[in-house]
Parts: sequence; C-alpha cells; structure tokens
Amino acid sequence: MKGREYWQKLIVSYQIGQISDENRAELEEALRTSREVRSLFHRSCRIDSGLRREAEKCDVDSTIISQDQNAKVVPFSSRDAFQRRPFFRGGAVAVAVVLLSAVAWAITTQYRIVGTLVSSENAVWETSVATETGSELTRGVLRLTSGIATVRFVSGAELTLEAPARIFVKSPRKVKLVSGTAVVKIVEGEAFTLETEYGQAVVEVGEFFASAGPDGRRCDFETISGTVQVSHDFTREAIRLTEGGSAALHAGKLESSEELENQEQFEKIEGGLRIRTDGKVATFIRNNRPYKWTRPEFLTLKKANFPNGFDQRSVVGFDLSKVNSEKLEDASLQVNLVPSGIGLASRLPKVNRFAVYGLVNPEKESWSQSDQWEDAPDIADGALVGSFEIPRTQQTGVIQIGGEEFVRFLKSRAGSTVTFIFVRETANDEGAGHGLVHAIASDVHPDAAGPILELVLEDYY
Amino acid sequence: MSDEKPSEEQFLRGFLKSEEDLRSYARALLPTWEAVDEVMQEASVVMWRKLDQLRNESEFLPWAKVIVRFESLKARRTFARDRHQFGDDVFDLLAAGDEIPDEEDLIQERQALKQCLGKLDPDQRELVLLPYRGHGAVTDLAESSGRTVNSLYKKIGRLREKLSLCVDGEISASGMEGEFS
Repeated sequence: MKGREYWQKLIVSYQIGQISDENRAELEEALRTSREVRSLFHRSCRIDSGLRREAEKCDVDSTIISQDQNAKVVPFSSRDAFQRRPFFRGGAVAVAVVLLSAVAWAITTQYRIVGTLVSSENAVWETSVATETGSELTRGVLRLTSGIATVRFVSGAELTLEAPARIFVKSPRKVKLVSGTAVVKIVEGEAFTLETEYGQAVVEVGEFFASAGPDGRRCDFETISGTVQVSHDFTREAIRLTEGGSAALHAGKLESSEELENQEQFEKIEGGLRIRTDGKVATFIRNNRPYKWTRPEFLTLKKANFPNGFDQRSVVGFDLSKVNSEKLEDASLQVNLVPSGIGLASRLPKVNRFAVYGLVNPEKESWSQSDQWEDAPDIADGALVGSFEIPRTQQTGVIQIGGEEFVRFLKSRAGSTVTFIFVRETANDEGAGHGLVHAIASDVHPDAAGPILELVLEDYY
Repeated sequence: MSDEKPSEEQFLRGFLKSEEDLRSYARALLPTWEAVDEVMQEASVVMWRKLDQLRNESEFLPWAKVIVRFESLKARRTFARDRHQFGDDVFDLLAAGDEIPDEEDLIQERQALKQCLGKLDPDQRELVLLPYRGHGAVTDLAESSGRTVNSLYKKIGRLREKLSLCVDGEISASGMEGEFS
C-alpha cells in the first residue's frame, strides 16, 4: 500500500501544476476511494492557501531577511545622483533602454521610495542611516534606538515611531511592527496596514496607536479616531475598533477592550507574570493640594529651582504576594512617558535625570493618595534601584527599569507588596516661566498603558 | 444562540474570520489559484446580496461554504478543459468536506505551518513562496540563475513535501493524530 509520503508528493505536484497525466489519474482515483487521501488533500490545500497568504503578506520580508538588508533613508543628494543616471533621461537610446530595462527595474525596486522622514526628535537609528528631516525611506528594516521619528508614506499615511522600536517597511501601505510603539494616522489617502507577529490592524481614515513588547509576541492597539479593523492571523478573529476602543493581539487570541477591562491584575505571560498597579498609584505635591494640581491619568514629576517650590513625586505599588522570590530570575518595570501639558520644556536643562527608589521603610508601606507631602514615601525611605535620563525635547516614550539591583530589590520584597518612588533629580533652569512637569501614564490614561511590572520566573509556563 | 439577523458589520467580521478557510475550501475544488480568486470574488458578492438569508453570525462559515461550492460548480464549466480538473464525483466528495478538522485543530495547523516556515533557511523560504509571487516568477528566477524551470519546480516540490511533513510532525508532537498513523 502506498503511504502518506507518496500521496503527499503527488498532491504537491498537482498543486504546483507539475503532475503528469498518469499521476493525476492515480491521484483522482485515490481521492475517490480513500478518505485518508482526501483528508491529506484538504490539508495540503490549507497549506497551499497559507503559503500564498504568507507570500502576499511577506512580499519583501523574505528578501530582507535573506539578505539581512536594512532599509535606507536616502538623503537628497544620493537620490538626485541616482535620478541623473543616463537611462532615466527622456532622450536615451531606445536599444540601450531595452537592454538595460531589467537592470533598471532591479535598481528602482531596491531603492523605490516609500516615504519621507518628516520629523525626527533626537532619533538615533541602529544603522548608520541619514536621519535629517526630508530624507527619503526605502523598503526594509528600520531600528530606532532612541528618540521619536515620523515617516509620511507616499500612500498618505503617517507613522510616528517611538524608540526603542523595530519595523519592517514593506510598502507605502504596509509596515510590520516588530517591537516598540507606533502611531498611525491617515487623514486622507489609501488604507494602511500595520502588521504584528500574530495579526494586523487596518485603518482607512483615522488614527490609532500600537505597542508591541520587546519580543513582539503581544501587541496592544487603541483607536484615537476613526475606525480600525484588527484581526488575528491564526484564529481569524476580527474586531472593528471605534474611537477609544482597544484590543490586544497575542498568540492565543484577539482580546477586545471589554475583555481587557475585565482582565485581572495578574496576567500570565510566557515564562512569567505581568503585574499592573491595580490603581495603587499616587502623586504627592509639596503644597499638599494634589486635587488642584494633579490629574488621575498622570503620575507627575517636578523639581523646582527654589526651596519649597511645587515639587512633585509619584509612587506606584505592585502586589508580589503571589511571587516566590526563589523563582524570580529577571524583572523589568515599564512606564510610559506622556505629555502633561503643564509648563515649558525650554525652562528645563537639555537633559533631565530621574531616579527610581524601592521603598524599604516599613513604616511608609501603607501610603495612599491622601498622605501629606511630608508623610508620603520619599527617597530617604528607599533604596536606589534605577535611573534614566530624558532630553527636554522628549515627552513620550517607553521607559524600562531593570538590572541586577532592581531584581535584587524585588527578590527581597517577593511575597509582599512593593513600592517604587519616582523623582526628577534635575531642577528647572533659572529664569522666568514654569518648567515642564514630566508625566508618566497611570492605569486610567486614555492613550498609554499604566506602569507594568514583568517578572520572569523559573519553570513558569 | 441569537435569532437576530447579522448586521453588515457582523457580516464583515464573519467574512474576515472565515476568508482563509473558504479560500482553502475553494482551492480543494478548483484546479488553479486564478479560478479560486474568481470564485471567491463572485461568492463574496453573492454572500453580500443574500445576507438576509443568514440566520446568525455563528452560522457564517457553513452558509458561506454552500455559496462557494455553488460558485465553484459554475466555474467548473469555464475550466472544463483543464486537465487538472477532477471528475464530478470527486468534486462532490471534496466539497462535502467531511475530512476538514474543527476550528481548534485548524488554528493549531496554521501555527504549525508558521513554525515550519520559520525552520526553512531564507533561500528555501523564498523559493517555496515563489510560485505565489505572480505569473512567471519561477521562470524569471530560472532564467536569471541559469537553471531550468523544471529543476526549480522539482526543488519547490521537495520543499513543499518537507514543509508538509514538518506540519505533520508539529501537529503529531502537540497531540493531534495523523490519519495515516
């Protein structure tokens, strides 16, 4: 009896149009008489369909990967030089054009301009590409290691990327977000597709943001305006998100905002746990009038340049009662920097330094928003676990705190609660005008995710 | 189960969710991808026109398959001379679709395919996807690489077989039994 591999070979030959008449007749007879061959045939058709979809989806992916070719931001000068090549001139000899057409096609395809870099705030790319505003972008891989960059595609879509982020630019209408945060905006033009590891979001007119974790395995979406269609590659689930709607795509499913709202404080992720603050956050202000000077969607940070100015510090708490310290292997705290809309960036030093302390004073553990500035957890009650710097030009982005000291602190607190105190160490510059107040998104921020603590745990699946 | 008629939005959702299943189903009934594309286009128009016949969203896939089957049957007349076309009795057996697994297994299968594609090296991956990159893509590569079209197709065929076996292996490893086991 002929086995599975034999029939598989015939089916594949049939599907790629290379089967002989004799083998086609043999396959037809087997399909007529064998349920197993029909089952195999259906599966092979699904694979055929999946491959075709992959070919459409990854139009340039495979080329990019196989050649490890990075996208290029082409400065004006090199583009102009390229356009001056003889065979692009109207009066070129016809025979030469014919002979060179294949070469020209290859070159124009490789360097086809898909968009323009329209703004760049302290943007640093991993590869040595030009980043000045006005540079033009070709298809391929882009890695933004710091700053914010906005690309306007020839299709009309605008994509703002916040570092750290990695994308595959596939066409003027399609980009794959591998990791990081992106905002897509279309006022008018063609529909735009933002692909992620497990699905995609399509927008015709509107604005939405997407945030993929460092490994790209989870991506959160939120619609700012218009309507966005989000779908899952494997489960085929699809959802239309209208203004304010949110969804998350990961390996198992597509979760809508309703499901997300019902999500528990603890979420299992591959190899560990993701923990949210569950509302345990507070901002303290030196004048002790937070109800007037702070807002629930922000955790604000400020240091004035004179004694008794309206300094602000924020604290966030996480419940580690379910965590066994012996199992804790690694951890990181992620917060989203968001614009507060308060104060002038120009009144700050060019680079602002921040510090994060882990609360160690047991007397301050039962803090709440109603605490006075003097009583609330302060840096004297904690141990330094991390620090970061933000240029004054930057008001959005993801900040990640981690490292050995951070993990050591968490291990010492596992099985209980943990509090982190955020402070700005650099003060406003001298002079008139209020300095910018920095803000971190809280759990109720409309656009950005609140603080998240991710724990990698041994033997945790 | 709700008896409410699906809205246009529900139709769109159902169509997007089922599109690849429908496309794979049509592929089993038709000899070429060109035929599948034509049938899917016609079928989607018919679905939209007959939306009021759909009782609820959860019945979308079986309802849509009936339409795809009917449109495929009509298209067979166009492709009557295609030597790849199977006889009416085989068409009926394949259209019955009794061998198509349930939703959960299909999800597992798609994941397996993605994993297996990831196991191919970049050149192999590019080659196995080449036949889907438009008319003449294989011929163009053959010409530019100095190989024969036939030898490339043989290589593509071997890669497809390798991929299918890999999918089998991934599924077996995760507990879904193969028919030939």
